[in-house]
Amino acid sequence: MALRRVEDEDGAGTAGREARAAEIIGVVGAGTMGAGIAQLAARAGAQTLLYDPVADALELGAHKVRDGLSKEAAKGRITAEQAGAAGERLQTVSHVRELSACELVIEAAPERIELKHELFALLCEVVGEHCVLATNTSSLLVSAVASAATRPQRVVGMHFFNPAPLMALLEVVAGEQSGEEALALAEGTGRAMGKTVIRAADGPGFLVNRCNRPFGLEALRLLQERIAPLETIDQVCRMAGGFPMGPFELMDLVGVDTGFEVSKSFFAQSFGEPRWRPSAITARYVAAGRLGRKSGRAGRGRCRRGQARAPRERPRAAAGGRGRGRGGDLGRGRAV
Amino acid sequence: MVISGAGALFEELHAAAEQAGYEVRPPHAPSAGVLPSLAIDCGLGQLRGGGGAREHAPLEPAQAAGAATGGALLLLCARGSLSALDPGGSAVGFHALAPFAQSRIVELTRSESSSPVAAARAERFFNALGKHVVWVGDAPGLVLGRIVCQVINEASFALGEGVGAPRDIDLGMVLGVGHPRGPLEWADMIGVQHVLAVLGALCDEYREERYRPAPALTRLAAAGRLGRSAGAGFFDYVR
Repeated sequence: MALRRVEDEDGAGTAGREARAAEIIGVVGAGTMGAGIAQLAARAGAQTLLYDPVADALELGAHKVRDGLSKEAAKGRITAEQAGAAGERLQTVSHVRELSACELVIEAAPERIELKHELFALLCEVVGEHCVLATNTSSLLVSAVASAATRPQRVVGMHFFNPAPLMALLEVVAGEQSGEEALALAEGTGRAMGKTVIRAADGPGFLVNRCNRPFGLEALRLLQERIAPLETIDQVCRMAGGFPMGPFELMDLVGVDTGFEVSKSFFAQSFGEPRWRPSAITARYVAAGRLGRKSGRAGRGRCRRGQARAPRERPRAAAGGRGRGRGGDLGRGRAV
Repeated sequence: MVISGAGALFEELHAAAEQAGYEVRPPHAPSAGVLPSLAIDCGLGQLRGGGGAREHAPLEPAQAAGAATGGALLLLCARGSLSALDPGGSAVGFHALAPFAQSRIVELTRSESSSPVAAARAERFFNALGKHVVWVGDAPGLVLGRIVCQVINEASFALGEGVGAPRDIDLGMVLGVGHPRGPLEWADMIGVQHVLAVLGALCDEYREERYRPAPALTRLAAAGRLGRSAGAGFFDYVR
């Protein structure tokens, strides 16, 4: 069937729009995310100023950027010359006022609203009136972060995905008061960094994390109702759905406790949306210290492969073995 | 064998069965010669209009065929769980989503009264189509259908609330969290009617607001934009 999707310009989202990229970019916070963003900015040709109030963290962050650039050169993603030039465009600064010349400042500080308010108020005092201030928050409302700024129309969300240098997507988030010019600069800069840029409205989880909620939460409901054991749910998602990872593998990777905090935040921010109700199973796992990969005690065991019956394997035995086949014992949902 | 129903999965299953060498008859064909060994119903039910009572399309043709096969009846658990579709009956349930060709596992479910013959024939049938099978508990959409239809539902709510443009929603889910395809494109492939059948059944059986279908989905269906096969769904398609 030779069906082809009609690419409608009106519904085409933001990816095609032309916009200018910032040439002087400040990055606030030199952690993993901040360093990743600084690496992207320097690689994209911008003069990049990395700031962190903690001297050691700043040094470590700058080292991460240079290390990341040489790794990219080693993998052939960029040439050694490009990596070298990008490295030279990176500069560390130890005070916010050194960011005064920036056209765009991207904040990647810890997810605490008071801290971000303090930073944004301070930034507003030092940067020019056309400077765009972007927050890389994933759990706070952009509108809430912007409330501390003297010009909230210059504040936008730039939600990078982890690891920032590798993930192809950038979600540009429009807060209640974000201006079109500021959003366009964020989008143009994102594209200069090589990202596919999508635009999202402000709200819990913006677009991507919100739409992905049911992937974990429905899997937890299926587990709770004993429709299938978690290994089977993961396996079905991978082998029948084509997902690269099952929902429980993903929860272990992210950290069960981190996921639980995100769940609670969605529920609170939406004033109790039923689709976003956190799972009691997750609460129990967190209480028991089963936090996923990082605790060394996975929320689930290692994935057991080969649960499904292979084609043509023991078709006769299965006929009478109701609920007893491999994948049938737990799969019938009474022995989880 | 006999296959009845409608939708993208029905079409794919029909083609796959014929390709695997099965003689596939329409449900009303006179049973000349060899009796069918398996009857499969992929019915999606009638679309729910304006919040009224849900109407299930009659199961009779497939059930009659099932009776003629010694109870080897296989029902798609989209518009209901197996126990809702065939209470106390001998049928076996299954669920899969388009694109069926890319799926390596088919989910099966059975009740205490399901016929062992039907269970064995269902396994053999999907194995012959090159699929693994896995037995899971009974619920509308089984495992994958419930997860994917709820992801589509959430994306539809987000679309209706203006959180993102259709293309951005799909790009975000593919590039941001590694989904095999965007939820709106997937809805168009599965068929909006199939997605609404699963959500409607979850709504009916759980009576939870959690499974309420997004207005963006129900309006699409009301406008006849049922997905790729209809030439239009969330997106438009041309030949």
